[in-house]
Amino acid sequence: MTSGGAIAAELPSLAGLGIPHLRRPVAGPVDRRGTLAPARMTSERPEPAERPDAILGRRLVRNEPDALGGVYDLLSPTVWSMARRAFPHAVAEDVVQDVFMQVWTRRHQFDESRGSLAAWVLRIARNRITDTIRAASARPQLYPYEVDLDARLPADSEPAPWEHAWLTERRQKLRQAIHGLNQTEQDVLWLAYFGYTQSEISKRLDVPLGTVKTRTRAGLRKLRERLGDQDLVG
Amino acid sequence: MDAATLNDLISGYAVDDLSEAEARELEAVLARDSALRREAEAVRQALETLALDAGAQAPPPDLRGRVMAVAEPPRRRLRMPSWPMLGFAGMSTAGAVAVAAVIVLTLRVGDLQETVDDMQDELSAQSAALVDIYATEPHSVTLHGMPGAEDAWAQLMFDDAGSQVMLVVDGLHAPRLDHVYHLWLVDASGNRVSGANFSTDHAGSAVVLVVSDHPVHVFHAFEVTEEPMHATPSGPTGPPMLAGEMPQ
Repeated sequence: MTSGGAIAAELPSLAGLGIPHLRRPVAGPVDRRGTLAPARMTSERPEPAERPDAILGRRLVRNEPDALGGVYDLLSPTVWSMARRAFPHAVAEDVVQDVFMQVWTRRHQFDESRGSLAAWVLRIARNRITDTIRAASARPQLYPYEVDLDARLPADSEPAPWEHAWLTERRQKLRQAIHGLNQTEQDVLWLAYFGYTQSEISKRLDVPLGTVKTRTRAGLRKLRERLGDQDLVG
Repeated sequence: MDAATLNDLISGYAVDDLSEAEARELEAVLARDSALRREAEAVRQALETLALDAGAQAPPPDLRGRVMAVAEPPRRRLRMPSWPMLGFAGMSTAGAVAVAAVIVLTLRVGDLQETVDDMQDELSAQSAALVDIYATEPHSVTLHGMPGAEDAWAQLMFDDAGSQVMLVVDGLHAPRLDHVYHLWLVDASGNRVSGANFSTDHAGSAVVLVVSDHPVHVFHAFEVTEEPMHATPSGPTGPPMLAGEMPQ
C-alpha cells in the first residue's frame, strides 16, 4: 500500500493547466440594503466545459509560460505508462523527456483543426516508442525491449489520484470498450499499436499469420463499434 | 472489391501494415468514397485510443524538472551585489567606496555592454542549435552522475548529422574555485578530446554548445571532469563527474 506521503510526493502539479477545478458560485445582485440576493435560477443549460487539452493547445502555440508544464502534467502519466510497457526505467525516462521536448520544439506545427492536443502528443509518444523498439530490434541481445502484454490495466482498476479527471473518464470508457474483446484480440491490437508488423506479432504470439490478421480485423471492428462516435482522444 | 477484402485493407491501414500495392488500392477506393474514408479514419483513431490502456502511472518526480530545464534553458542573470550592513562609522568609507565604484562602473560600462552582447549571442546560438537538432529526429545520450555528483544528470543532444550538439546539465554543483568542467569526447581507442568547458549556475544547471571537428557519432563515450580553469589539459586530470555511452 502506498502511504499518503508517497502519493503526495508523486503528485504532478496541475497548476500549469490554468484550469479551475472548483468554480465560485455566482451570487445574485446586491440589493438596496447591501445584502446579496439569492442567485437567480434560470432554465439555461450551462456551457459545456472546454476540454483541458484544447485550452493547453492554444496556450502552447502562443508560447505562454508554463504551457508545456500544463501539457506535461496532463499527459505525462499516460506517456510514462506507455514507455514503461516497453522499456526499463532509465530508457523510459529518456523517451518521455524526448517526447515532451518534441512537443515543445514542434509546438508551432500543432493544428487544432486537425485533431486534439492529446491525440497529437500521444501520436508523438507512440512514434518515439515504436522507433526506439525498431532501432533496438537489430541488437536484441543488447536491447531486449519487448512490449509487456501482462501489465495492462485490469478492467476494474481504480483511477489514479494524480490523473486529471477528464482523462480518467476517457480511460474508463476505453476500458469498457476493450472489455468486449477477447485476450488474443487485445494482445494483437496492443502489439500492432506499438508498431509490430503482423508477421512479427505472429512470431511473438506463436500463432499463424492468418490468425493474426483475422484477430486484428475482428478486434478493430469490435473496438470501433464499441467506441462508436465517442471522441476519446481525437 | 468485396467487403472482406476492403475490411482487410482498412485494418492494414489502421495498423500501418499495407504493402505499397495494397495502399494504392485502398487510396483509390477511399478517394471515391468519402463515407468510407471517414470510416477508415475512425478505425485508425480507435486503435490510437489504446494509448489510454497503458495506464496512468506517476512519472518519476524529477522528470518534470528535466523536461522544463531543457525546454526553457536557465538564463544567467546579472546580479547586483547586496549592500553590506554598515554602522555610522562605516558610512564615510562606504561613501568613498560608492564614488570609486561609480567611476569604475563608468569606465567599465563598455565592458558590461560587451558581456551582455556576448550572452545574447550565446543564447541565440543555443536557440538556433536547438532548432536544428529538433528539425529532424533528435538523438540523445544520457550522462549519469558519478561518485561525488550522484544527483547530477546531463543529456547530450545532437542532430542527424552529428554536427549540432548541445549538452544540458542538471543537478551538478558549481565547480571549485578556479576550476571549470570539461566535456570529453571519447573515441573507440579511448582517446579523449575536449568538447566544451563550462560552469553550472546556483541550481546546478548549464546549457552548453559542444564544438567538435568530427561528427559526434564517431565517439563512443562522453565524460565530464573538473579541471583547473586556466589550464588546457590534454586529458582528464580528475575522476569523471558525469559519464555516458553512445547507444550502438
